[in-house]
Amino acid sequence: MIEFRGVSKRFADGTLAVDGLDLVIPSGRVTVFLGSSGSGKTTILRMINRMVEPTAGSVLVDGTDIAGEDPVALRRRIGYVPQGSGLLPHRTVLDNVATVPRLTGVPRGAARERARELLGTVGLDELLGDRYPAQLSGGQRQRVAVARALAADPAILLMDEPFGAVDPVVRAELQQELSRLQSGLGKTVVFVTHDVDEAFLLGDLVVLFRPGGTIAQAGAPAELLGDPADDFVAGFIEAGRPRSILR
Amino acid sequence: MSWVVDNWDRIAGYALAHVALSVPPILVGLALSLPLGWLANRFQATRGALLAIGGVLYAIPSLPLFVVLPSIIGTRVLDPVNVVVALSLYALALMLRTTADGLAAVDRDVVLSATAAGYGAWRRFWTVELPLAGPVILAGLRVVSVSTVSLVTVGSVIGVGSLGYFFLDGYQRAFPTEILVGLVGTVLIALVLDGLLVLAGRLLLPWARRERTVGRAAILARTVSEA
Repeated sequence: MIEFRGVSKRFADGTLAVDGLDLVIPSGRVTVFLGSSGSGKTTILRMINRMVEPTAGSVLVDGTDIAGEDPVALRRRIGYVPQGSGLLPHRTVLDNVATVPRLTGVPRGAARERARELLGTVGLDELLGDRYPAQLSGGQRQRVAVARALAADPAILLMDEPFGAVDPVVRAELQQELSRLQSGLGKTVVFVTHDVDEAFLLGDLVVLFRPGGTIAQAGAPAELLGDPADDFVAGFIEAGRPRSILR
Repeated sequence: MSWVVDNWDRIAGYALAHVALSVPPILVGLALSLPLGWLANRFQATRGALLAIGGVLYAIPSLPLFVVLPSIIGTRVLDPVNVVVALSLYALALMLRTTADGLAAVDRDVVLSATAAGYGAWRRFWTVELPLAGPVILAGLRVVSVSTVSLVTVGSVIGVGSLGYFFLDGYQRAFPTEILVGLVGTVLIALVLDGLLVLAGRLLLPWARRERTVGRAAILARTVSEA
């Protein structure tokens, strides 16, 4: 369980990105942070692994305030998938997937063995393991990034618009793959997107943010669709679903 | 040609001395540029200051520096160390900007994602940022290598032996063959060191070649499909 208690973030330039956030993210489910750019959703996500420090309030993981934990050790326990795959261009695919186990001292052979298994888990041919990231397609790179995030078997997986940079066909494929994976793994997934369809497809819980980092509505997709809290929520969902134009 | 045969021992001796004077400054310049290049990128203020100092250093003419250096660092006037120290300063002056730029050009997303994966700052610098800056640093090092080999010859004017000796001696005796030997020898040393650097790059940065090959293959594929 991840808990935000009265969390605010004011950047050095004075912008208030997050304003007094209270939120509980349940374990073993997919929680989607939905919002347009400037809604603070990525900032909030990055507070969970201390890539961003709150200026007020506290973030708790399984009841412990993470402000007291070593950030490097914390990050190794939390999987992270960025928008661009963020893979190390100078390491082979296999070594990229083995990154976190290697950092925590797992011997090279064992880490690579685990990495090879994970390539299969995310639907990639083992033979790709010896290639460099530049030799893969965008979709393949995102799969490798997911495998890398899973390598140390973390309980929490943070995904920051992970499928934002791939084409719609590949994106749909990756979304289905993630659903399939999650139904077997049961991780606590926090997924950031600005895509309403993606949020409703993947989220057990959807948190819609207003500009300025406050929650407009949080609930199951059906709740947001069927019972929007206000005009902002209704408008965001309507505007974000291009297929509704066709109706 | 017979002069070359007759003087082969002297030529080889000066060539060896030339290499011995060239290699340390290149390595020292590289080694010092790493922490200073890091520092230059770390803070806004240090970048301007360090790069400015580097620029000024490189503007000092070599001959006066060779002459003044003994009184600054307390060496004897004819000590080869003077040449090594002076050329190390030049190498550093050139490498500082290259290393700083190379480190600054590393993809921020890659650094961010390495941090998120749990790299500490120290480990991330040595195993992620520095290797990724490698191709830029290597390019700078090749320039420094050639320039250092060339500058070593100036040391002959203050009596520190290298292939530059043949320039002076040949000029004083109006004997072009000797000058030519010094020139060809210097160029050969520069070429060999450059070749070694390229080789080291291939061994240490195998991924950089792959990336280029992929780029070329993509261009080729496009050209073929358009044709």
